[in-house]
Amino acid sequence: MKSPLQSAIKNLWLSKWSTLMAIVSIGVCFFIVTAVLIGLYNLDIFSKKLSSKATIVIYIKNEIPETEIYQFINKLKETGFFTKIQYISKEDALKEMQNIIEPSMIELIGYNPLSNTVEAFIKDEKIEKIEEITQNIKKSDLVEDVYYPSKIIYALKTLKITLWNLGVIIFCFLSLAILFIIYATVKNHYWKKTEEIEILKLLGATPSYIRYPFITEGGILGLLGSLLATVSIVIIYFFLHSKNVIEFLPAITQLVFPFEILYILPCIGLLLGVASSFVALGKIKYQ
Amino acid sequence: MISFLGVYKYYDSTPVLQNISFKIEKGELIFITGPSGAGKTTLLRLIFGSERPDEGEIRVGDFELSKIRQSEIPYLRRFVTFVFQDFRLRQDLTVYENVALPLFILGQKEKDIKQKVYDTLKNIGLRHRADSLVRTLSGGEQQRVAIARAVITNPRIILADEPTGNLDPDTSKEVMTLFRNVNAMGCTVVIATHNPELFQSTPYRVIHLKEGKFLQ
Repeated sequence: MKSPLQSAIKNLWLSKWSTLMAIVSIGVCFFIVTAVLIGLYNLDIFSKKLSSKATIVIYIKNEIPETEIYQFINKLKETGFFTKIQYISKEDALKEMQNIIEPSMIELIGYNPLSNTVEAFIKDEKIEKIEEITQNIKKSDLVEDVYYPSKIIYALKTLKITLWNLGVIIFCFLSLAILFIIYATVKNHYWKKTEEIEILKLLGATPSYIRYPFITEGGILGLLGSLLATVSIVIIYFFLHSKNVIEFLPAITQLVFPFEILYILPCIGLLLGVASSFVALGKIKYQ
Repeated sequence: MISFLGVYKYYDSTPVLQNISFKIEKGELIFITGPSGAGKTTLLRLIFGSERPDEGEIRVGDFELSKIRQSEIPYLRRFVTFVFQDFRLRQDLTVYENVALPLFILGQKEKDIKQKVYDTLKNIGLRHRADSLVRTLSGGEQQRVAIARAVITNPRIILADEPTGNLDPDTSKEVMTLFRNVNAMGCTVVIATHNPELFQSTPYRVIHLKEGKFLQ
């Protein structure tokens, strides 16, 4: 007599071609899902990096004395929205400008046309509120105008939402596909063993005794499929980080690989396998 | 041990059993007889929990079968075992494996199982066929394996539906001897048969059924 694990392995081996097809299909689904998730993860990191460079430039009215400007900066710091706030006087701004534009050109104007400015670097988690923050700053009597890179932030936000939604759809669709493949394989094996199961029921086997081998079978299918995907992704990761590929695509070094998937993915595979086989078996009825 | 009280069973509004009431005491060997379609198999199926009565009460040991839940049926089937006319053996397994199956279901240890199975096979005269595949056995031998499988867990009740239906007269006698031996060890045995040779000139009680009614 065999343990549930031995019975499951025997069942899978007896229909090895359908088992192999199921594992490969599950592996492909897991691979796509994981690739999409890694893509989204990297997109998230990329958008955060870009966002952290988002600066609000506040142009201060000319007549405002520096003491009031510093008080205004302190108030901005108290809001907790910014990582860094720096004051650039119009004299310092002019000096910087002289490094870019011919000094004779500035002399032609005859006076310093620049304003005192405050540059505020917004925190990542507050980037969604940038518009609201800007509007509040504009309300101050000290402020002439406020500039922030609204179009870039909007484009980034739209891209992130679109890709995220697309990722969620792919994730749900392929997760359902994985569930269905395991469900169909286990159900098929269960039907093939109807006669044996009927004998077990007549001999007093409990539903859990009957279910164990099939649930183990589903777990094995999910686990092997997810391991196949994990191994493929790791191989591709190392291939992408090989010397030749980096020379050809230097940006690939920026790709962040979440190594947690090495254990999370097999766990998800195992859980999905167990869950879908449990559903496939349904309620065991005695007659 | 077994009691029926005013039991009715219908298949598609056709009555199969009508107002059946009787009691079977612990340690009895009893024959249920009658022509084909009399309701013998239905009566055994009711005791085994395969069917539910449409009316009336059936009590088997501590189990109230008119109210039994699906989850209790496996435990009823450890208390009551069944020997079928068509044996219901796993043809892909050996004699040993078939007889050991109920013990595996009960989660007994391999060492204990081995001892019990060999002892049981010895008692039914099939020790030498332990490693043979069941499909290589004759009908009589397969029925003996089925009886061995039914008795190995020491059930309180054994039900047998036409246990000699597929067997020649000599083999039938051997099988009946096995049932008498099992009964002698204190097990209640209920045998459904339409073969009068099995119960004529025996001291055992006989219940006669005709068209689903009790004729005793």
